[in-house]
Amino acid sequence: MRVRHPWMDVRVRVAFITLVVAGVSFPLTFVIWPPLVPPWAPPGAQGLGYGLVAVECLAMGGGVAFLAFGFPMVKRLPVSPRLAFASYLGIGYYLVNWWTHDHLHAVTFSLEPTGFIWVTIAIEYVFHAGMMVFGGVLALFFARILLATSTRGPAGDLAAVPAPAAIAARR
Amino acid sequence: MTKLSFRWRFAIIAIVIGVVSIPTSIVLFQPNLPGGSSALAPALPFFLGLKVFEGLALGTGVAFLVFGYPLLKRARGSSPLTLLAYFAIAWYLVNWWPHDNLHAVIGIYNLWGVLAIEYVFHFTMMVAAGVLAVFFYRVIRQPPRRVPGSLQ
Repeated sequence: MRVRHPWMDVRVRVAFITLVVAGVSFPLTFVIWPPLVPPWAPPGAQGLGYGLVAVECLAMGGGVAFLAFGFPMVKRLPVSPRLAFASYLGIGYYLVNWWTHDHLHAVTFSLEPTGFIWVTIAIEYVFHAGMMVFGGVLALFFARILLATSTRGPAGDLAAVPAPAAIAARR
Repeated sequence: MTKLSFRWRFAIIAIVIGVVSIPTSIVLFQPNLPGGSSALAPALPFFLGLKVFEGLALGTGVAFLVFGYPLLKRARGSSPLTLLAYFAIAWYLVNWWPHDNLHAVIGIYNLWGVLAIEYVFHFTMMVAAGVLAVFFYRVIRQPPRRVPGSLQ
């Protein structure tokens, strides 16, 4: 039987998942990946490196929570289902990618020059170009959302009046 | 003379900036590869492809900033969160041109330079992604009111 906790509103559940994923991924980072900042670096740089890892883990946790809770609600968006789903994926990708992305860059630092170049190219296409494409998708999504809520201008004016009058106005 | 449609004006700005930015980046930013190596010839088309992506993203970002702002101003109930989402999307588009080129110039051995890039670009993009997630959630929670029988 499913137990419901009415006190656990979506913000609490998002915060919970974010912290659990971040809490697991933070120590895992130092097991799986090479250090972002080399061990010989001064303490200030080490601190900045740890800060960055913490933010990456929190972003990944936020992304997992966003992907988990956002999916059932995507259909409610006032844009086409495909654009809504692509925007949902885009934001999820923007949040979860950094943990893998940044540490893969760190892996390339230890490769020989030829390996460095090819792995860097792969990272650039998968992560950087991927985020650029999602940037275009989100720009379109944002414009459509604003058009759906706009009050002035052709689209807004027509949306605010009953259909027959709007058709007459268009003619 | 007929007026150019919104899509054409948007595309012209994006493509012009994209085309100008590609040779500009090649002139301004000389890559600092590890071990003083030069880029492999078979890899050059891939690097050029990335330049095209970066240039077009920059152009699209500028066009989005130019044409998105009037939409933002006339949107009903536009909030500071909407403004932040507008800047977050623009940042996700325009940042790649300086970001990737600075990575190439700074290389991998300049620790403080790499950390500066990480915080100026990567950290701010993570924050921007958080802003977009909250914006997305707010849009879902507050769908625009529609007048029954209106044209959509």
